[in-house]
Amino acid sequence: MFRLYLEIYKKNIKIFLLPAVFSVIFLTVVLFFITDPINCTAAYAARICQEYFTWVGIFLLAPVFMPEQRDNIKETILSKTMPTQTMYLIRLIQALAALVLFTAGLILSLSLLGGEIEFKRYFVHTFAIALLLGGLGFMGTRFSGNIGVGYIIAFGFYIIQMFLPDEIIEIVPYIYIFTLKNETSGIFLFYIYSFILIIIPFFKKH
Amino acid sequence: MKVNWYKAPRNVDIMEAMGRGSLSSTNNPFNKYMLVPISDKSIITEAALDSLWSDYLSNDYFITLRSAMKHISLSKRKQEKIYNILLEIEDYTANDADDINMDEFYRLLRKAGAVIGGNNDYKNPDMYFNRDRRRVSFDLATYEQALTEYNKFAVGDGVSGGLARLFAGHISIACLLLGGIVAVFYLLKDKKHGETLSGKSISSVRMFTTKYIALNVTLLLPVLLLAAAATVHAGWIAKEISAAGFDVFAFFKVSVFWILPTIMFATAFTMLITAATNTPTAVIMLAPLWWAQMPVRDSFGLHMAIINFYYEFSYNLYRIARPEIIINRIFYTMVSLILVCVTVWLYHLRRGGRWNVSAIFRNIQKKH
Repeated sequence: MFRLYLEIYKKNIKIFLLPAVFSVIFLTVVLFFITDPINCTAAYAARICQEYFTWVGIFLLAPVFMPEQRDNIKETILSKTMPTQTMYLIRLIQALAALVLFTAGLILSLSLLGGEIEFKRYFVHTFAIALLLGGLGFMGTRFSGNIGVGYIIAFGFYIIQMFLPDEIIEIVPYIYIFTLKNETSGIFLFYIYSFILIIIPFFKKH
Repeated sequence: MKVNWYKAPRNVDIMEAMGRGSLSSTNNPFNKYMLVPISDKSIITEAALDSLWSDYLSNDYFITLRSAMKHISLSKRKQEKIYNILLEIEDYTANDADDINMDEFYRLLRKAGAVIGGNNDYKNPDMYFNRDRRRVSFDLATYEQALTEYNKFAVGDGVSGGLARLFAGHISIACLLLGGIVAVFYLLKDKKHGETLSGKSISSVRMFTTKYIALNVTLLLPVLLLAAAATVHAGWIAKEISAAGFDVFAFFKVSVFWILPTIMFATAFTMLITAATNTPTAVIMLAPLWWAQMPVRDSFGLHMAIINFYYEFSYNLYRIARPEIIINRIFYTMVSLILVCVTVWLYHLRRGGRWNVSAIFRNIQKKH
């Protein structure tokens, strides 16, 4: 059984993880070029994390259901006795592992480049925002069957955040979290919403 | 040396003040009067000096580099240089206000700007620490000054003009990203019907142009609906302040002349990459394009794909920048049309089976 899972894991690296990781590497390189984070202050590092880097979550989590958009892959998976959810769970684990590694890598490199950064705080915040945006893309793709819709929901949420009135930023997940007075409850909201967004798609059959 | 601690407003104070002065908020500036630029030499010099002192003491400088706004810290050597320049400016401004030559003062600030690097406010001090632009030198208006501003806004701008410019900026931000994504997946739908489409007798030019126009019209429709809603809102504001004039078509004008070129560019750019690669790669390519546009406001050079104004009382700036905006919009429309021509050519090759990226890669792999 374990060998079977290992085989599925390896196959999914090729059809799902590698393209997603390449796009994330491209984004990160572009991000470093555009923002030029050498000797950045804590506030600027926070901006890089919360406004720019969190897109990585969308590009890693939204394509989890993308291989099934090709009919031949979908038919192959549906014909197996193993539940399709197992396949999605394996891809989700791969995506989350990549997200953790990339987030940690970014924050480490920012601090190595001279930024004044508290690793734990920046990691938890950035991961939370990326997870929520990714979760929106994840759920949108699952229920619409089209990754384009997933992207639009996630990016739409990101854009709406720019224009949110001050009165409601305490009750909705607010991605400019480093600017909040009460960061802890803000983060708590993020993880609750992300958990819901990632769990719900697993209840949908096929 | 004596350090003068002035109580001049910092960037944040002004932004807050602008927020409070917003017409959309309940405190409209015409009840309290508004902030106007100051032309008093001594206040300008004090404010600029205060700004440089606080940047130096917190070692937190605000710069723009390759269109991105950022805060940086300087090395010890550079900090020492800034400190020496500060002393020089302190000595110079210790004279009477009448003796201060602004050109000399600006020269010293430019020296500090060169040490900080990138593009910062000290590099263009005559623009940022003087009238007509934002930052530092603002004060509460007298009744006459407020009346002049009111006349500019209500009569010259027709109330809705300033709000329409803000509207254009906000909607363009969304359209550049979301319009691009819609275009990618719209064109990728062809993959499923590739064989059927290839067999049709309709020419590629006509087929692609129809798709492109249909997509742009579809994306423009919700913008026009929002413009209608915004016109009603602006009309309500005009009624509240009993404005002398009101421009009903302001929002529709910016939708067609400012937002449509942005939509055209976003869709043409992403469709070109999608036609070339036949994958959703264009969504990732949108990231650098969008990131580069985001932090810049009140700038209308050819590098800006969107027209984004800082706040609604921008009639002066708009009048100055109008020719630049017109050139910018024509440029982006032309670029979009050129991109469409290239895409039609690629689309035609793909339809005839002469352009297939995955086959090209496979051939390369076989050769090796």
